[in-house]
Amino acid sequence: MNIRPRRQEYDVIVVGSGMSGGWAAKELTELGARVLVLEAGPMIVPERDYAEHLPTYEMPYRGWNDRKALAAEQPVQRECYACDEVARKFFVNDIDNPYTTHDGRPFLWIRGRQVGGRSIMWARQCYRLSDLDFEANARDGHGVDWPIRYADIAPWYDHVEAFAGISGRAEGLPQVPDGVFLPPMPMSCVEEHVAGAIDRAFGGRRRMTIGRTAVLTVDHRGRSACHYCGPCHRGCRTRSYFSSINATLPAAEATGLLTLRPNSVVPSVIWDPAAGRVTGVRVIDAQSHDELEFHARTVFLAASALESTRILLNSTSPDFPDGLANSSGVLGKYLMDHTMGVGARATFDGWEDRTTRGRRPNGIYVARFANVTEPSPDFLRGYGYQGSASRAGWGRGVSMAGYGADFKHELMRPGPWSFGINGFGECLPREENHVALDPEQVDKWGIPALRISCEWSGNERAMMRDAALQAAEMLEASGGRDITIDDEMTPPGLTIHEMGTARMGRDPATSVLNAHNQAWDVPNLFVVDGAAMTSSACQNPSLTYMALAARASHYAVWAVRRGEI
Amino acid sequence: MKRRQAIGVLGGVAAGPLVMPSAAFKELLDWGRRVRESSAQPPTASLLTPPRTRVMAALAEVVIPETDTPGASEAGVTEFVAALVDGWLDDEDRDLFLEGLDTVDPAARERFGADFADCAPEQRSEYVGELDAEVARLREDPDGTASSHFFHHVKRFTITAYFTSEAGLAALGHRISFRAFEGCAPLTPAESAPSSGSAAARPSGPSAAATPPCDAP
Repeated sequence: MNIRPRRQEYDVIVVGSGMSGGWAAKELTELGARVLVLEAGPMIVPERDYAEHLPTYEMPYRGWNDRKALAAEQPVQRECYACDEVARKFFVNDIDNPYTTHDGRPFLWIRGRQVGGRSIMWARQCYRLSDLDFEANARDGHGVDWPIRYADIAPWYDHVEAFAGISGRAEGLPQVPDGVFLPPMPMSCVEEHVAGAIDRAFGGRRRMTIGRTAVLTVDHRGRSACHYCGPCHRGCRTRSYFSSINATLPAAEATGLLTLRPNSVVPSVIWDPAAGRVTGVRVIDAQSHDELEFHARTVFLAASALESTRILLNSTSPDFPDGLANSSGVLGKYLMDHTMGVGARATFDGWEDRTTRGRRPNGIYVARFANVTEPSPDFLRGYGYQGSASRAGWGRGVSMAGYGADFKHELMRPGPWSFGINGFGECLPREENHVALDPEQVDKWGIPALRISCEWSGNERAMMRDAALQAAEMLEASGGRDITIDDEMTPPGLTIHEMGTARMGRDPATSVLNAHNQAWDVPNLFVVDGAAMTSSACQNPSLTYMALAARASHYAVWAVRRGEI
Repeated sequence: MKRRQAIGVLGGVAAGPLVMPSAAFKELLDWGRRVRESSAQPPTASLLTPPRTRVMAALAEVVIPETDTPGASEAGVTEFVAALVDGWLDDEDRDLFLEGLDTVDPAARERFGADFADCAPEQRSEYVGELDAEVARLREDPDGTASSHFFHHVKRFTITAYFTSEAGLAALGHRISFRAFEGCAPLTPAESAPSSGSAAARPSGPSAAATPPCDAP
């Protein structure tokens, strides 16, 4: 990938090279557009930067991480499980990239600034939304109605799944529609047992399936099947999981129409008041701090939900004093994440002569049943569960009495089976949950930082109380013993499903984007990442971002060809 | 209800949710500041001095002795402990750990007339048994905390260092990659009965600790 000089004219500038930006780059270039992808962070070279097979004994802290460096550089990022001793280089420096919150209302903003963005470290779970989700706002009156329905996005789910490679099992469940699946990964003995027990105990109203994941179970489009080494978030030289680096950016590069410029921080979009259009973006070179401009016919923002919104809020002009494309005044509002941290765990007796072999980068999924197959009068909407069963390893020795040869040999045997499941719940779109530019704080490049105002509401709390209880009931019904409950929700942000703040809608007065991720106020400006989400559903959202980004890319190319923009 | 341990879902690959303290954000930043202020001066020589290293290695070997697979001292446990002491532990935890280590030799001399590492195997085992029982009692005690006892850390460091070392991973039959994931595989003979128990049964030669073949693509 080459780096071209500034002021070159492109058909489309895509800001961001992660999940959404990678898809936009692929689709746009394959349709013949000359695309400039601007990435705020550095280049990532798999052969140099991926480290999934690094043995623990070559890590100075044996996987316990460099906690003093984390404290100094990444006090927020360290809360993410994937920010480990090897992969922490894929997470931002919190000192260079500050944001502010309010006392007593923490928001953990977990970010990756490099080519590939967070698609390098994502958890890879892929579930379709359904009309249960696209109609939710209209049904209960929270938020505005989505401008699309399942029928609008279904072909695009097909399109992105076929390319990305999603392994999973068809279940025929309307609330998480089946997709284009590669063969599913197996469940463990205890997972099979619990799946059957839940089916029997709850009369078929609750369904546990193997996780649907963007990890290849067979060779697929030049990428190798998974070899079950485990730590996907450290990279994957066989490109067995989907990321923009592993799949979409190489496809875009193969067209010869892609220019990728790393180290390009975008503070704002350039608005031409006479033309009523945007003409490009401003760039601060991350290393030299030089200020540059790049121009194109169309601009796509795919910098992540909150970064795209930050760029728009920082793009002010007499026409848009409160941020570009913000005539509605809703830009920055209706921030959502999924609730997390609540669930249950139990020990299971039996299967003592069996174990799992290989490190499956996937777990199980319990599809939403609350307010689908079972009414839940205490709250609106619902939640799904993710989890897994496995045998305890040698780490259990730390809290066991004993020493000597017998103790050593006991730790070399697999320990008891345990099964944990955690709920992931839908968050209502609420105006109070919002981001704005902080009046004082700026980042390393002098760009105003975000001030994030977000907290869970009573609906989320009621939903998670139920999730804890139902988790324990399912484990009990499956014969688990020593059931423990986690009933404390993690702060918003940590689920890393932050979304909304530039929502799609049917009415320019109450939404930022139309049904094609196109800004109502600016015809040649598109926002194609999680910022566009009108409601959160409870499914992991990346698959939907991919589908929306691909769909918007096709729409934009045809709109240009028709002379509409 | 009380919150428990973080649940690492998704196949032990740690790809799941973590729980975080409720006073979350401020606490987190305060912690960052505290740790940053700790050990602003990196030591020029390791605080795990040669005499402390000798004690640590001897304690670790009692916890995880050589059997038909290598023991903790052969696996290089003290290297990791030195890294923790010099660059990882908070000042408070480091002092607790080192002060505890420093009590071992004087106690051994008083009871057995020799430094701990020079005591007879039965004497070393007897002493470690007492330390382990003290930690076990603290664990049972609702008002106690096992982590306030230095031997809790000795054991924790030893177990982690051993099973993440090249020798320890080889002893476990650790493999990096797999042709397929099996959800219900029979245990290997090594997993069902990992040892005949004695160092005499240990095969000699460098091949014994060799990493098993990897069938990565």
